[in-house]
Amino acid sequence: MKKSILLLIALPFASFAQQTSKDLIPSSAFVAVGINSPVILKSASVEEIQRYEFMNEVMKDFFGEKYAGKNLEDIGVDFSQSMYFFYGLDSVVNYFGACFKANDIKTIEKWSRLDEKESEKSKQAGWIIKQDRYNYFLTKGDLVILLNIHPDYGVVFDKVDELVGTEPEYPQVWEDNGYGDTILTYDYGDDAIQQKYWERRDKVEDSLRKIYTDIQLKRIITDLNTGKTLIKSSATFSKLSLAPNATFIYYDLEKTIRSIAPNTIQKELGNGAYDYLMSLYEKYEMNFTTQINEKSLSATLDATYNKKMGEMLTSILDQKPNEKLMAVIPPKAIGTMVFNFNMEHAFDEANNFSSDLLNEKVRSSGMMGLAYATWKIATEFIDKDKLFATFKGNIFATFNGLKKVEYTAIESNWDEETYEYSDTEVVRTDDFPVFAFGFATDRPEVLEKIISLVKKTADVDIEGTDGNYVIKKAIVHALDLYIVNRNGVLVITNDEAYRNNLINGTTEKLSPEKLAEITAAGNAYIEFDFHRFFPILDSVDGVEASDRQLFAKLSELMGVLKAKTTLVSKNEMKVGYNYTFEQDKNGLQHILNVINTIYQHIEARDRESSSMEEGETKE
Amino acid sequence: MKFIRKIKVILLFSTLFFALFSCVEIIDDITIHKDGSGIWKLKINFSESLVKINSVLALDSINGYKVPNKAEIHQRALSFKNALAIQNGIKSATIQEDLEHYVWNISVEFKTTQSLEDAVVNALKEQKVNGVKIPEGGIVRKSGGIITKQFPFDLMAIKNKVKEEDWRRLSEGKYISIMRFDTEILKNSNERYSISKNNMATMAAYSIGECLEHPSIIDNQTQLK
Repeated sequence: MKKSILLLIALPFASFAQQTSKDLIPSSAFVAVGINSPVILKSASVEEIQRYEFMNEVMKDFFGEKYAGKNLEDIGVDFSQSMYFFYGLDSVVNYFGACFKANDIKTIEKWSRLDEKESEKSKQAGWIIKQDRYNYFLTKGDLVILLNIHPDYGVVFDKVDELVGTEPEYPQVWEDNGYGDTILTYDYGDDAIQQKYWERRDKVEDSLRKIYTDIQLKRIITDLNTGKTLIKSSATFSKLSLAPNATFIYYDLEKTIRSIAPNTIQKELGNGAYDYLMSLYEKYEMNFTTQINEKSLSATLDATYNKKMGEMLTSILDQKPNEKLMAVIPPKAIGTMVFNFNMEHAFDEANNFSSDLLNEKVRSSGMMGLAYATWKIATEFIDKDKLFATFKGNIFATFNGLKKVEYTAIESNWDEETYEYSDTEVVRTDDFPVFAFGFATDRPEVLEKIISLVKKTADVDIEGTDGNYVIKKAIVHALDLYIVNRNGVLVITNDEAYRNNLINGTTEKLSPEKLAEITAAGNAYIEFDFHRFFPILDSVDGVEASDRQLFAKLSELMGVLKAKTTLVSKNEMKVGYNYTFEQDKNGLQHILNVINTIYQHIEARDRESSSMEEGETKE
Repeated sequence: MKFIRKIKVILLFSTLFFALFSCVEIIDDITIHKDGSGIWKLKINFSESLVKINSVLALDSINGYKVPNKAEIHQRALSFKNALAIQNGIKSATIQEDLEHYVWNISVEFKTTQSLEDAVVNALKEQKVNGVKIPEGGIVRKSGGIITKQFPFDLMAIKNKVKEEDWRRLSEGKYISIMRFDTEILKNSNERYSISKNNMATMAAYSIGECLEHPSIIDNQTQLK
């Protein structure tokens, strides 16, 4: 019996002894970021990281001038455990925190600037707390939490308005306007009432802020001491904290809506709308994990949700890639996006959503009620079959460099005799993206009718017939826009050569491998080639020679980013990202190298401009 | 976080909003008659940034700044003109808008230079424009044959709230100050001001950056014959 009692007494201390950084996030947080330093440091050691020049400035910026030349091991953080950042808010305050294991608390206190005399020191439930206005430094053993608690501006201002009243207006007076007319104008001369009002307001605001932050701090400490932590309340976060990812971001949408609802959804739309949203977002969690690999960086966005949300999403995403659309996607674009979703299902879901979301109270009130009635009447008369055969939901967009655009600017010309000036139109050039946008359609004749109607009625200059049109000077009153409505695809582009190929049927096709890749991606495929992107900036007007050097280096270094949907099911959706490159050994070294290249460029530019300034001063 | 700010500047190549201002030209043209009355014309010309302005207007917000649509821009310009029109000592307020090239011409007649100064300051206050500051000695004042001109904004207070690159871009715009008179000019106190061949007008051109960082660079006293 005695042994059992001793065991019960010892248990909390035993659990305290095992507490690590991942146990220091309160369960009310709905965003958490994990930095898995043990995994990251396998790709580059602290010494290797420190060799990058920009790290010296990072050390100075984050930790103070004293840390110039020192390395990450000197900041007092124990990198054998992961570090976490978290964010939470309720209807009154929001908080942001960082937690980690320390190997030298005194050092951390110094760079956190909370060792200074102004900060208050106190103890609360086993935690030593140092406080400086909204910043808190909490320690327990070798565990540290840095916290910033901030009251919501809107809530505080509303409360202050309630207590102090709104800003008094300047007095209005009738005055002669100097031309014999009497006009009502403001007397801006009397600022005393305003000044008194703002002084009083500042005092009330400060007191309210202090009350709100103190309450929130107590709440967080109580949560941590009673085991109300994120790792215990979320199985997803718990799993993420154990996985060998380099970093992760965890986001709980259900908790977000619950937190913001009292000031937004419930206030504006009522409890019915809130209940409906909760039925959709209950158990909705998202996470984004990154992995460092050889010659690549990969990431996964993973969303898990309830049955109702799952049914909605799978219904909207129930669309196969369209062969006709795939046949016209420019194969050599620098950036490509392809999306496939079911427009008809999306419309139905939006209709259900608006019917269910807007409760009777909102429907019967003012503009919202009118908007709702208009939407309902419009949807009653829509020929859905025709509409969604016209706009199917298979779309692509590409970016393929820049082209010079000539446009007219207004220039003032001076008469030296009188300094009178007159306006003349002059031709200027600038750069505009070369793009193409297309969507699949089963009813091209409907689109022909729309174009022909716009041609007759709107104030635009459209030329052409039979699925081949050009809108003259459609962009910045200078650039032509082409519309091609052929073979079940409508394409809008400013690329004349691509347009001609479409009309002549000589469009270059995607390679079988690329076609297979986009098809396998299903709902979404995105590709961007950084290696080919930077050289096109060379020709942009106003780019300096030193910037060109940077673009050349980045082009040499950087690779290709691809993103695609890899899973869509009734309870989970995944999007995979993969960024590949040639130059560096692994993903971490690549990121550090890219940042360092940019840093070296900025430093060189700064040195050059300060030496020029010095030269000017001497002169 | 100096370094982080620097990296952001480069990584976000997206400082389009303030990039617009790198090509803005503002002409501040004031005619002062012998009796102190006159005409003030303000021309704001964004046409050199036409591609960028159209690109930006296609967005809802950029760099954290809300992008107004054409209707809102028109409304704001009209509202400023209307605010000017109802001020003491002001008449014939007009505005000409060229939304194809993004050029605005505002013109007002004033009874005295003091009434112009009050009208502009009050209209700006009503439009909730920050940074308006009347320098000691006024913005434009006529005292006998001497006309004083000073810069009416102190925007250094908001410098820290604006991104470094955005401030740099804004600074690259052009500001031209012109003053015209019924009588010939004897001399200017500021060497940056040149005098027209007919001796009836004086003009100086600055980068907006010069005006913002060193407002006194605009200060001038014109002595009439």
